[in-house]
Amino acid sequence: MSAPSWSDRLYAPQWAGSWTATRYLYVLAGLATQLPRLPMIDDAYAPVDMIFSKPPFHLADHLILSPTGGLLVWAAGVAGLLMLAWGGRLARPGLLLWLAASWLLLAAEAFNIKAYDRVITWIGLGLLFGPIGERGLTGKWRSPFGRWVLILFYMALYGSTGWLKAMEGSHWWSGDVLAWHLVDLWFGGSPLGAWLSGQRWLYLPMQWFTVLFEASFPLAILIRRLNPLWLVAGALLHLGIWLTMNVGPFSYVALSAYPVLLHPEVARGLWERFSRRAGSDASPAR
Amino acid sequence: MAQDRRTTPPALRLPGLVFLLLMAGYQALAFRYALSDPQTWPDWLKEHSFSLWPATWSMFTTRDRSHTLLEARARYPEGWQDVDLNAVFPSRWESGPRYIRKPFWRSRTYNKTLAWSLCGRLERRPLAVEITKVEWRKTLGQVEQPRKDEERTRLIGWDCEERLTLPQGRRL
Repeated sequence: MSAPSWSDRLYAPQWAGSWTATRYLYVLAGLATQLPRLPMIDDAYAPVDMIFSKPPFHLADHLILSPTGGLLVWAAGVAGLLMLAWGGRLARPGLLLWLAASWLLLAAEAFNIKAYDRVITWIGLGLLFGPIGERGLTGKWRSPFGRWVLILFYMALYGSTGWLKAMEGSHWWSGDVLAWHLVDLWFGGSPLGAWLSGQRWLYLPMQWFTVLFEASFPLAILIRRLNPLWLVAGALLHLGIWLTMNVGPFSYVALSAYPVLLHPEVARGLWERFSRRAGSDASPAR
Repeated sequence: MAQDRRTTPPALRLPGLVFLLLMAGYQALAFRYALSDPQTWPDWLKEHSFSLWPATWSMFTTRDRSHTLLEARARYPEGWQDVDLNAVFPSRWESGPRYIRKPFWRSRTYNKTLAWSLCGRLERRPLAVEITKVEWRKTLGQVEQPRKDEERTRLIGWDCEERLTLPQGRRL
């Protein structure tokens, strides 16, 4: 028997059950991003006065959304997310509708694109290549291509921000970068974060943890034994950010693809254990 | 029972690999220039400075030791009155109102649009408005952020009779 080719190895089918979890988490993260935009439509996304044409968004040179138009675009985005939640044949058109509507609003606003707006778009790209339109994925093995897209994206996201922190004047190693962010008027200011900003013995190890986790992620995520540990560390990092800073839906968005990032065989093991337990819990009733 | 296993058809595998390589290259390029001085950028990047922005992830990387706020006041026949900008422009993101963002208040054009919009949004139309940037040093260890060593910079004074043209020639 001949050895498997590079393409057989790269495209070997992987357990696909995690895609269902990621699809639902992505919808929730999308709603957490989209719903707060509703009261801002008249003021920011489709105002009559504060209209900007700014690189790379020159939408206003061609189209200016009316408040009603803005509302319709917003509703289309919500509808797209609901279609994605419904799944089946509606999943991909729904995802595309959500992405298009979301970016139309952002382009109309032109000024305030957040990191999570870009993150949710890259994750959406991974989902487009995943088996999101299929049902019963816990019993199926599918192409890993969408997972490779997501892994590559997260390697870039965490790796890049971690390496930049590690290099930039080394303030993340020995300084107090995090402390200053924790008392920021907008991103910071929570009682816990403000207190932490005065505790060097606590925030310094937190800085080291952040840089070590992020900078090592690109390698660790590919090693089966480290993969679940790094994802737990990532979940803790995002929990810490959520508890101490105000970064909007960033934490939900970033965590939404974690089920697919988890090594598929580890994920399948967890699913089978969960199913067995649910089955044994349900058996007396049967 | 046989497992339900399917994967990418052979004809699409090479294009798929090329896509992954291009994506990796794009992300690496964005990382390369993420914090570099724009003066050192190659010509193609200077011309299209936003081409790498979708993959630039410099989040909370650098130190920021000061707070920035914008304050405004409006001139009526009886004199100047302070204006609560947050009430007039209520949209708020986790990074604050959009006019707090550095690229916004650094731009004369955007400040003009803000001032002109402020004239139109106030209940009673003023004769003029003035917008000032206030910066002060952050205080670690506490929620309250007293305005220590406050620095005030007048960004713009705007006569509300003056006209401003928005994209597509739109005027209020």
